[in-house]
Amino acid sequence: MRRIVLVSGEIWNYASARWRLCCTVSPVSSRRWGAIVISSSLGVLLGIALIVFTIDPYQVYRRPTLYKPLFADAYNTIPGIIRNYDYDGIVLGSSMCQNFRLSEVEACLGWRKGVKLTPSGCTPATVNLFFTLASKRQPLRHALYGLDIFGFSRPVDEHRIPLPDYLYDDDIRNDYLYLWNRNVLYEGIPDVLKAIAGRKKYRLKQNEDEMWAWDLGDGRREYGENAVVHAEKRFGGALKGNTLPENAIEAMLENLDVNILGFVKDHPEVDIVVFFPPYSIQAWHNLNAVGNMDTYLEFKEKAVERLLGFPNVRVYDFQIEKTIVCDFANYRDGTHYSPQVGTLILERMGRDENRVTNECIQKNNTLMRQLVKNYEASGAIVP
Amino acid sequence: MLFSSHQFIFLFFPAVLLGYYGLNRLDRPWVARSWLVMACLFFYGWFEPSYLILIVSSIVVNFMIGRWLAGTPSGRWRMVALGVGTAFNVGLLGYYKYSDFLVENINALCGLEWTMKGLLLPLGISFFTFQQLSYLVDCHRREAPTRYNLLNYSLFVLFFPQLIAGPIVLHHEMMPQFDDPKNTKPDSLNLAAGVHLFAIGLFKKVVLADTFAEWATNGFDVLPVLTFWQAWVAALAYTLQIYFDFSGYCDMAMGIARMFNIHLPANFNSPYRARSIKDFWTRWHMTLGRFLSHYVYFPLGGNRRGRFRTYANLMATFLVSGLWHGAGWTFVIWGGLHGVAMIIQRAWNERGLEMHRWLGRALTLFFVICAWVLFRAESMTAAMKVYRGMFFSADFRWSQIDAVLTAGVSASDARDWLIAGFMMVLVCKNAMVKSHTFQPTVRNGVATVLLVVVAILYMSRISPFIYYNF
Repeated sequence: MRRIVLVSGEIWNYASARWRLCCTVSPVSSRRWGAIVISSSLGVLLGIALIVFTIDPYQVYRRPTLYKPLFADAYNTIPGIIRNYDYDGIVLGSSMCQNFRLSEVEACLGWRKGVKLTPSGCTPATVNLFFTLASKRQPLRHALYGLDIFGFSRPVDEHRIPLPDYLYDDDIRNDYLYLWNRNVLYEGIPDVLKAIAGRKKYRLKQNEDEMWAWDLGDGRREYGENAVVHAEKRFGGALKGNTLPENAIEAMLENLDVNILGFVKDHPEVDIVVFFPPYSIQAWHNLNAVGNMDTYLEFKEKAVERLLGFPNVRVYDFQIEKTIVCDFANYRDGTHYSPQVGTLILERMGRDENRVTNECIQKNNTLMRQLVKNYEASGAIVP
Repeated sequence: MLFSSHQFIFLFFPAVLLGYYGLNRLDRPWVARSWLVMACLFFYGWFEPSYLILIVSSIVVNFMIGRWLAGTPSGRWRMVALGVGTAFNVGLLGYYKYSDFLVENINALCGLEWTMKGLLLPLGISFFTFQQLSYLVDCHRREAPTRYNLLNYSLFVLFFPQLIAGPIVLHHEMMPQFDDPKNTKPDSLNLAAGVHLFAIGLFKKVVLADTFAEWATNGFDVLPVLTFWQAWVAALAYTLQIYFDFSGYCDMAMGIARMFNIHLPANFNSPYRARSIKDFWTRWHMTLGRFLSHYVYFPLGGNRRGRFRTYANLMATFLVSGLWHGAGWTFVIWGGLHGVAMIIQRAWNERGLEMHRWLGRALTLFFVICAWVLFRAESMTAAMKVYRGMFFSADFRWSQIDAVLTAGVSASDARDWLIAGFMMVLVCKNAMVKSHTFQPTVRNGVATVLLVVVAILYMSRISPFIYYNF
C-alpha cells in the first residue's frame, strides 16, 4: 500500500511538473506555435462542421437516414422539410393547425402526401414565404390554411422571430452559419441524441404524422374550465394584447393582399382550403372587452369576400360552431383546441360542411355577436 | 466589414496580410503600402461605398493643410490655415453628426419646424476627424515632420485595425512604425501574439458582450416598467457589455495591427478596478482621454489658472467628451456627471482627505454603473425608467428577472454569467498585460484554439460594435 502511495505521488509530481513546464516555458518556437494553433483551430472547426453535416439535426441536406426524423424546432427545420420531403399538399398556419394528423388531412381532403408547415405564432408573412418556397420545390396540388385573423394586425413583413436566412435560401456559400452554429451544437444535436436515446418527450416528437404537435398524446396537456381560467390569469387574457392601430382594417387587408392573395392568384392550379379556427368564446369576449371584436369581424367578412373571388379557394368557418367554442372541455386556454376538435374540423371540411359564402358570412358574424352577448350575459369565466 | 465576421476572418484579413508581406518582398515599400491603403479603402467602402469620397476628401484636405503648415516658416497665415483646417474638420463632424441634434433643439426652443436631414453617420468619423485634428495642431506647433507623403499619411488615417473605432492614434507613434524596414518582414512572435490577442477580443465581443447585450436591450428598450432586480440586471449587463464590446474590439485591433508588426497604443487597463474617477479615466478609452487632455484641457489652461478655472476646464472637457460620444442630451449629461465627479474628487484631494482604496473602488464602480444608464438609454424617459427600477422599486422578486433575460437563460444562469463577467474584469489579467508578457506556450495555444472555436460558433448572431456608432 505504501508503495502504491509513493508511486502515485511520483506520478503526480512528474505530471504536475510537466504541466508547469508546458504552461510557463516556451516549448515551441513562435512560428511553430502559430502553425499549430491555426491548423488546430481549423481542424476543430472542420470536425464540428463534419459532425453537424452528418447528423444534420435540422434536415437541411437530407431527410435523416441514420435515425428517425425529429420534429422539435419548426422554424429551423421547415426549410429542410420543404427541400427534402415528398408532398403534393401543405398545411399552413400556426399552433391552431399543429395537432392535425397528416393521415387525417390526406384522407379527409384527398391528398396524396402532405407536410405541415405550421410553426407557433406563424404570421401571414411566414405563410407567404412557406407557400412560395414549397411551390418552387414541388408541383403543389393542395394547401390547407388555418387563417388566424389576429395575425393580420401585425406588420406586413413581420415574422414571429428573425428567420435564419441561411437555412431558407439555396446558397451553399452561407451554410457555414449552420455548420458552425452554437444553437445547432447546444440544442439541435442534443435533441436528436435524446430522441435516439429514447427520451419519451423527444421520441414522441419523431411522429411524422403529427409533426409539430403541441399535444403529444402523453396526457400532459390539460383541457377544461380550470385550464382556461389558469391560462387567462397567467397570460392576461387570450388575444387581449392584440391592440389595433388606427386604420386597422386597411392595414389588415393590405396584409391579406400582399401575403395571401398574392400566392392564391399566382397559383390557380393549387386547390386552397382556408378555414377560420375556432377560438373559444372567452377569446371573443376578450376581444370585445378591448373593443376589437367588430374590427376583426369586419376584416373576416372582407377577407372572405376577397378570397372567394378566386375559383381555387374554398373557405370554412368554425368560429360560430357553438358546440365547440362554448365548451371549455375542448380548450387548454382561450384559443388552443384539442386534437379531437382538429379531427372534427377535418372531417367536416371533408364533408364540405361549415362552408362559407359571401352571403352567409354576414349571418355568421351576427351569430358570433349573439354568442358573445349570451356568454357575457351568463357571466364570463374571467371578466 | 466587422472584425467579428466570417468574411473578415477567413477571407479579407488573410488575403491582406499575405499580400502585404508578399509585396514587401519586392523591396519597394510603396507597393505594399499602396496595397494596404487599397485594402483599407475596400474595408471602409464595404459599409457604405458613398462615404469613401468623404474620407478620401478629408485625408487630402488635411494632408495639404498640414504639409503647408509644417513647411511654412511663420506668419499670421499659419494661424488662418489652422483655423480653416479646424473649421473643415469640425464642420464635417458637425454636419454629419450634430446637424439633426441642433435642428431638433432649435425647433424645440423656437417652435420652428425645420426638417431634419436624417443623415447616415459615416463610420468612424469621430475617430478619423480627431486623429487628423491632432495632426494639424501638431503641424502648427511644428511637432510634425515635413517628410510625410500622401501615401504614408493615408495609411496613418486609414489603417483598418484602428479606422472605425480607434484607438485614436497620433502620427508620431504610427508613421515611424510604417517607415521602419524591420517591420516589413513577418515576425513570428508578433504574429503569434497577434493571433492570441485577436482570439481574446473576438471571444469578448461575440460570446460575452453579445450575450449581455440581449439582456440590456430587453431592460432598456423592451420592458415598459422595471422591478428592482430587472433594472439592476439591465444596468450591470450593459456595464459588462460596453466593456467587453469596446475592449474586445480594441484587443482585436491591437492583435491585427501586431500581425502587421504595428503596435497600437493600449486603450483599456482594467478600468472597473479604478480607485477613483480620475483613475477610471486613465484606464478607460485611454487614447480619447489622452487626446482630450492634449487638445482640449491643456489648451484651455488646464490646472494652471486657479481652482475655479480648473474646475471649469474639467467640466468643459467632459462635456466635449459626452458630446463626442453622441449627439444627444443623455450623452451630454453623462459627460457632465463625470465632470462633476472629477471636480468633487479634485476638491476632496485638495483638502487632503483620504479614502480607503476598497471603498474608493466600490464607489467608483457604483458611480460608473449608474452613469452608464444615461449613456445607454435612448432618451431621458428611458433612463428614468431604469433609475426608478434601480432605486425606487418595491418589487424585489429575483424570479422577475426572467423578463430581461434571453429565452432559455434561467435566473441562476444569469447570476453566474454576471458573477463570471465581473470576476473577469475585476480579477483577471487584462489583454494589455497579456500582450506585453505573451509567450508561445502550450497553455496559451490551447486557450487560443478554444477561444477562437467557441467564438466562431457564437458568430451566427451578428451584431455591430457599440463604438461604431460614435
